[in-house]
Amino acid sequence: MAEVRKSFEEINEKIRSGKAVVLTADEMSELVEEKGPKAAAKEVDVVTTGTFGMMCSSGAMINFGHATPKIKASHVWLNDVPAYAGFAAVDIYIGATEPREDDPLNRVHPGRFPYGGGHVIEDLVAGKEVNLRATAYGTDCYPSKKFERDFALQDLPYAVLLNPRNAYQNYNCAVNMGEKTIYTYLGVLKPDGANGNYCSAGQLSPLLNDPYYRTIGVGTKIFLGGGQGAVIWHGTQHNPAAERGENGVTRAPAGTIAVMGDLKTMEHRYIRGASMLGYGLSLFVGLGIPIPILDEEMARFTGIRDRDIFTKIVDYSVDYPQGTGKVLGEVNYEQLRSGKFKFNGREVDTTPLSSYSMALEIARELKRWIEEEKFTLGVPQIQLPGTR
Amino acid sequence: MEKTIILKFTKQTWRKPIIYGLSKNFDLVFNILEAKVLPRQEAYAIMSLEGPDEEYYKGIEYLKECNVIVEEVPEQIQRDEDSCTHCGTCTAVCPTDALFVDGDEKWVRLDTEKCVACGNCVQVCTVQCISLFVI
Repeated sequence: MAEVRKSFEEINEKIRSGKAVVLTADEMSELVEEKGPKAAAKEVDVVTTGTFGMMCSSGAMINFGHATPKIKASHVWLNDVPAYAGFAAVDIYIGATEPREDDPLNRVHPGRFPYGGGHVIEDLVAGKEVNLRATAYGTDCYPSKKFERDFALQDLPYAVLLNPRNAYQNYNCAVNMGEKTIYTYLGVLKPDGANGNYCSAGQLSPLLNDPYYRTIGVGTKIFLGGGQGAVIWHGTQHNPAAERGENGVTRAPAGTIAVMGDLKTMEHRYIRGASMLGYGLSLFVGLGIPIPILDEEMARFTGIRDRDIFTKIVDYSVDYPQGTGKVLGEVNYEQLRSGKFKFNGREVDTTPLSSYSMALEIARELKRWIEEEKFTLGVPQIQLPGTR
Repeated sequence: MEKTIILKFTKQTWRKPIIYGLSKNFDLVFNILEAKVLPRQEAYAIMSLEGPDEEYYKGIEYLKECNVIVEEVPEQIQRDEDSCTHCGTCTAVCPTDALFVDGDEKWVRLDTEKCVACGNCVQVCTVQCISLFVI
């Protein structure tokens, strides 16, 4: 059998003419296992991935339009959640983890954190009105010192999701080896290593299906919150140098992406404010990336299964907060997904945090976009650091 | 029959060995799911009790004769199915596996039969879609 080589343009042409063969990442894993990567590369043009989890480095960039008289806002609150206003007159950024100003936080531990920046973004996407308050010092060109109005998403001239770090390529499995229950961004951890919490879509996860970022780069078009978005840069803490297995897959948290997309195209189901008991606020983001099967190597990469993906078990009572770098062991996603794994001579119950069922839904929806709506692939204009 | 019940003890009864009698005197299996002694020495235990119907009722009679107040779990949780993101955070704190991750597609399911209305899930739910209500 001749070597398979396909270009982005050839695949896009197939998409436009309705002839592209598209599989979700879990379907691809089965095909590669059954027929091998070479035959799979010949047969399949695009593999769709998906992930749905709390992604704290997320937020929305908003321009709320000029009122009369004009204001250059210094401090802005959306439903009493502070937004950053250190931009031009009516540009603001609201971060997902920002608590409401009157939140008691962790004064009564563990705090509940019922509402924050992520919920403001959710409310906007859900079509609810959000109260905006602004104060200013006043200038000759922007005389107004106070402004207040309720806005629905359609009233805002500009509102985009702008997330500096999403879709982590692999993540720790957290345990608590201490004597007290702890409340972390990976959920509630019972003492004595009783439960292990993890947060990755594993075999469905975008960057785990393209471990060396061959096809995912700046300009890649993605499913973001139910609408169309794009990869705009590598994300904060992007670390392609993380330890890798023989299959090239990272065995620790590694690559990340910065993404952007128009809030007005998004769906409530895929953008949800999150409250983590005793920790704080976040935003559930639904994200999916189509991966072109350019050659046999890409078929092998996308053929990955949960059992081929390993991650580190880290103690969140001491080693994570103190940054000791100590690792207690390794576990693969097939074990994690089964609900239990053996560790330290006992059975540990696992909790996913990242929703596999929603990730699957997103990968299927993205497949439908390509097949029915002729959603084509974006060609990376700048590769991410670590591209091989 | 298997039921989840709440036993309430008073200052006078909480120190007495009573529960063991359910197994010793009757053909019953008990499993204590939660138990607490409150500051005024009133105490409660939530437990499941299982055995043949006749033995079950005899066991309940025995508890009452020991001056223990017996109630069936009066509360239940409900989940807003549309709002749930199936993140699974609740499954980590559920003591009876009433909330569990199900099947190949990993949807989070609620088995109300197993629920003992402890309220742990209400506290940790990331999207506040679970609430307690009185039956």
